[in-house]
Amino acid sequence: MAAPTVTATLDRATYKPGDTALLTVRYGDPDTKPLTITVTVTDLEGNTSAPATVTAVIDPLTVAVVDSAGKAWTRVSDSGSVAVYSRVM
Amino acid sequence: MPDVTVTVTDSSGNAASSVASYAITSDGTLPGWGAPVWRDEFDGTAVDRSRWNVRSDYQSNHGGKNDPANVTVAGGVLSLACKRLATPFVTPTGVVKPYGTAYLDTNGKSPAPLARARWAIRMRFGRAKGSWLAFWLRDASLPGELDVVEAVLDGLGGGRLVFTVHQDTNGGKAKRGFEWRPPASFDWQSFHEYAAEWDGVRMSWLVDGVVITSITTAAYPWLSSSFGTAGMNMRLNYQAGGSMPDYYHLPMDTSSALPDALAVEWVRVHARPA
Repeated sequence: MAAPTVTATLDRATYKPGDTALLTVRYGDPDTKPLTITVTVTDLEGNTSAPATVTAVIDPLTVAVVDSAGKAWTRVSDSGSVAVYSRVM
Repeated sequence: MPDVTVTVTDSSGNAASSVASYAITSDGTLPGWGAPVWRDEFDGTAVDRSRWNVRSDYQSNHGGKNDPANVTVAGGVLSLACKRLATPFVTPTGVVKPYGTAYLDTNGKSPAPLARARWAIRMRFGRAKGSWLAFWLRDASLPGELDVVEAVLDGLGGGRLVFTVHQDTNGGKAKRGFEWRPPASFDWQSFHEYAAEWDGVRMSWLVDGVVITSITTAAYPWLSSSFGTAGMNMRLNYQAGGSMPDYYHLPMDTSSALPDALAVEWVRVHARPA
């Protein structure tokens, strides 16, 4: 199993009280792949059903954000490879 | 300098982390006040002893023994901790102090004398029932005591916030206290700014920049004889139980979640221009 990768980047290095900070997290894992299974059923007469699909993620990742000042960061979005968090300074 | 650590973990427990540091900067300039004349942003790795005395004494009005080990600075935050002592401290007169607490003051290190000033702190309370957290001032030459804010926590995520001015810090004389009930939206476990302003005539208390209550020398003439021009010594402490928590029936006891800590981002003093 490969190790995941992550880089965390803040939109600025310094903030004033009241500013909203944005934290962009780019993450991934070579083992983490979307999986789609498509099933069709065919009877003896050769009639085939419409395909049904299910999706899953192999080796899903979890993202944890910890602030040394004890502040909470709120997840704004997460595409599965790029997540954005924010907090008011 | 605070930082934020992001850790990504896969289903097998493999993990990777990335750290991003940030700084919260402000020159502290306020309309009508200008830049601070005294400040501590706690951006070092230890308490600045040129600004603060870190006490190792105890007081008669609460159950803690002050220990400098309970005062730390890291990540841009001053932390004042309270711990349950494995071996309680016993005073020479036999009084048992079950808790280790923290107490800083600026005695002898305070800003130059200020006749009109604003004292402010940005801090986050802990959660322990019966904790008594205070940022308060004593006049350097007159008997007055100004409590910028005192908080008594209920252990349930709330508590009491009290703003008080005393004619005499030793008690026995007049005082004026105001208990503020924050709105439901007030998050007790977030950082908030608490301030007091004194212009020689009016004394005001503010939370997050909003005036909560004010008094004047017209209604309280003793303000003029309790506060002068010699300046104020600041005090910041985590007290364990004691007279104010007892008053609110919120003693520190075995149900109090310890260790606990008060976190302070900054302390700033402004002087009103003449």
